[in-house]
Amino acid sequence: MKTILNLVDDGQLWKFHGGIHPPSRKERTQDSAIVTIPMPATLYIPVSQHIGQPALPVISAGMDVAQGQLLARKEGFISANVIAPTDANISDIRLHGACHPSGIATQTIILETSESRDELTFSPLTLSSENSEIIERISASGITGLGGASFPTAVKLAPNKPIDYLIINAAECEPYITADDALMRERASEIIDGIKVMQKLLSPQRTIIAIEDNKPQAIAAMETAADDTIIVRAIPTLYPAGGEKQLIEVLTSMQVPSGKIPADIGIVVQNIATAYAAGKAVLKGQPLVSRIVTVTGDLVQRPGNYEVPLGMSIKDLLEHCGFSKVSAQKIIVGGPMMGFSLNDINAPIVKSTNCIIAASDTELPNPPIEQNCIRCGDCEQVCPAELLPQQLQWFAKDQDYDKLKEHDLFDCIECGACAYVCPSSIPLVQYYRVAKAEIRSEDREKEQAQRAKERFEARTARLERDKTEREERNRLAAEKRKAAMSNNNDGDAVAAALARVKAKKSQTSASTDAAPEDRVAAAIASAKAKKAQATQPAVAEPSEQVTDQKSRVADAIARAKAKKLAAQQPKVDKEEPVSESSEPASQSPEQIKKARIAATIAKAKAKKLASQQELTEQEPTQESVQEITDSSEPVSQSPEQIKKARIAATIAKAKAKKLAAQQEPTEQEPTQESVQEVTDSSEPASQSPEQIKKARIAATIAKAKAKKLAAQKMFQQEPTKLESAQQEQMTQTQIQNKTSGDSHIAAAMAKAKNDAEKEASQVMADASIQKPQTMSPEEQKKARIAKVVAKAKAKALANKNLDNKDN
Amino acid sequence: MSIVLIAIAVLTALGLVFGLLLGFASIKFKVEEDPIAEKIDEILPQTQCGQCGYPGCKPYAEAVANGEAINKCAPGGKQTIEVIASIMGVEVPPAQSEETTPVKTIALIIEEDCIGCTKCIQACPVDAIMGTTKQMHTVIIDECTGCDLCVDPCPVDCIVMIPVKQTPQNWNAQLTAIPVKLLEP
Repeated sequence: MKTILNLVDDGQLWKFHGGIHPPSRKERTQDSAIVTIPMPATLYIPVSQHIGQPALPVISAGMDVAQGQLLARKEGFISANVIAPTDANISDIRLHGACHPSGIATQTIILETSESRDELTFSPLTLSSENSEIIERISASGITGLGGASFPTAVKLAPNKPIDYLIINAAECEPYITADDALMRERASEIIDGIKVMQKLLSPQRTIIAIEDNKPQAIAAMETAADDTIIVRAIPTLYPAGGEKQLIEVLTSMQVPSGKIPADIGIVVQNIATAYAAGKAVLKGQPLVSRIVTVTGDLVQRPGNYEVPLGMSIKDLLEHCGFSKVSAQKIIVGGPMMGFSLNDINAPIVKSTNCIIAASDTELPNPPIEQNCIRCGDCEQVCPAELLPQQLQWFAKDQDYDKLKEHDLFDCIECGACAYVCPSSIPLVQYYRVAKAEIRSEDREKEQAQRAKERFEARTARLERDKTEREERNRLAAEKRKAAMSNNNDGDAVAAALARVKAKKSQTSASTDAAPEDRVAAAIASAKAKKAQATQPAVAEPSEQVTDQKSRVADAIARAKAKKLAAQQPKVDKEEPVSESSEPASQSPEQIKKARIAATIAKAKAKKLASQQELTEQEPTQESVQEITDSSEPVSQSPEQIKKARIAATIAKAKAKKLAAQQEPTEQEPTQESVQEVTDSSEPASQSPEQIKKARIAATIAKAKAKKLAAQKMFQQEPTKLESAQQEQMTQTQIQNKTSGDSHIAAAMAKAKNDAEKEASQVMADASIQKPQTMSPEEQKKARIAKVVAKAKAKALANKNLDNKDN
Repeated sequence: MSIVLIAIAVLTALGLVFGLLLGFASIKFKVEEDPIAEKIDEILPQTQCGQCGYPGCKPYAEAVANGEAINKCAPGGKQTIEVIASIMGVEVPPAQSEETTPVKTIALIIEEDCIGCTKCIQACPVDAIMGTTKQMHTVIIDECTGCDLCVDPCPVDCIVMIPVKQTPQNWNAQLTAIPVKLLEP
């Protein structure tokens, strides 16, 4: 019994199902020689000329590139490099009409070609070179399948299975197209070189060049050039014999299973132009920069086969060929069966463009109006994929995608044979294409949903984990505290607390005395020192913002407040902590929150006012703040209003920052100095980084407390801020130390008072001095960031202006 | 008498054997989750947008399995409702939202306006926003579900929802929708 290999050797051919005989219309160009088109002034190189991921541009506008230079690097496994077809200057990378039925503009590299020719080629390899080297060269040369699908050739030439047959597809079954025919007639030996390269890479048992028998000259030329290892096989002319799966069946009787690729059954099919390009790239070192394009149709004066640089606009090409436009002109890219009509004539020639048809309505009339299906079954008779086009049509119209999948819609090669024979002129393939696109997008969405689900679940798990970790940490800390407390008796606890208070004081004030009177005095002193130092540079500077009078007023207020603090200190000392805490404790958390929002708004507005320099007196500013605070009574505010208010506050804050940042840098400098001084005076000279950090944390807490303070003021309508701050502080401390004895509470109170004093001075400083002077290091940082943002924006603005000018 | 005893013994033995078998099966082949809820979760668009009033698609799927209205998924549109109706074996109610075919959108952060507050990052249910404090944020387009949840928290309103851009890769092959430029003679 003979094997298939024997039968193939014997020259036996098989037949695929269906097929049609459309008029070939190749006469116009089939005897014309290849004419090389001169380099146009502008080339348009899309980064996506192939199946798979678009390539990533590696150049930028304005650069000069040489012929063969890489323009865009392949991204991912199925992708191809994009090569500069000639020496040029990159004028732009932008969206440009693509050579695609959708007409959607894609990212395109625009080249202005230059006169000088500085051909950059690779060093030629030989057939004895390493396979990996050859594959690398083919990939670097940007070669994709030139037959139509544009599959990256390097990927196809490195299969992971042994290959029995290498089939070179030169059937060229579509009407009009003669590009491969011309190539074979004129450059047979170069093609054979390319096939040799492919043979080396794949080492197949048989290599077959399949040519339709309507190209006798090409068959003769190839037979002359081919050696013993290559079989040149003339196959009967029948559309679509050039389809990959159909050609395999004709030559080997094998059918590629649904959803598989030919490599799965040991077959690789390459287009003949691809073989030519691969041979040139490997053996001559010339990357893929041009291709043969058939330009035909009755509206072209000089139809023929042209060697066109990739990226030349179709308009330029047609003009070169003597194209005369008519009204409502159609330009077809590819063949009349599987091609598409172009919707932007400026679209470029890409790697897969093998034919341009500019035909009048008399030569290629518009299809008649679609009629209803009469169920004649002609479509089924001609379908080369043995599908049921009529059934598919019903399902496609119903958008029944499951049924379409069941009926193997994705095996449809969109050859158009069914639509060609349809007596009702139903554009069947169009229905299938839409359905396929719809199914693909559905699949994509499903995949995306799956990913979103995974990400959502991962996030939820992460949040949960964080929460439990935090709780665990808190619990451990609490246990530690408890353990530490139970280990000591009450007296020890008091002693420890006192020690802590002392330690804290030594950090915060220069005085080491622990007596309350002294502490108050120290606090006043430090507050004054801060004030003096904070205001001094501002006064000394001829600043517009701070006048002498203002600073003096601020000073006076601060002093008055410090005095008040001193007066209240002993009184507060004696009071019962529980009664003090009753007031803030009665506030619901919601009220506190609302009040805080109001305070933020007030603060933001005050800042804004200050920075806008609308008020020169500090007192009115404070008054206005008070007014704002009062007027924005938040008790009756709905959650939505609160939210809006919050957003407004943030915006206001951001604006204030920006303003501050935009002010002259000379103002910034003394401010920083003064802050430094303040820090120095209030802290001992030997600051460890940890202390600084603590101080910063303390500042943040103080800020938060200031907010709270404002909130309480509003609710209690009490004139003194300090008392309420102390109350708040004490409440917190009390809650924290609920478990320990009275003496412990007393100690904590002392500590809290100490904090409150500090805070008081901070608050006063905040209230009485303008914002830039009281900036903590953190705020400085913020201001700096804001400044950078402002600068960036200014730049962007300038750029925009420039653009506008240009335009 | 002995026949009666034998019959009782045999039946008891059988009962024990099958009881053990059933008990084993109920442990061994235990269904962890409600299969209907799981099925519905598969169909939902997984935008995790919360427009249904549940904190994510899965909670809503579980609620539907327990009798919640099936027409609350706005991003899923009419199609999703139909599929859920067929799973649950109920009539298709009218969709709640006016729009039956929702346009798929994704979030876009206007980067020059971003102040780096990280609020949108915390709001994003699928971690599709990159950025950190005081740094400009941006949306990972491929991961964005278009749920809208990041728009409201933004304090400076720098997030807008834009329709998904059409590319040759996701083009719907509708030739009639293409504005063909006719060449003038």
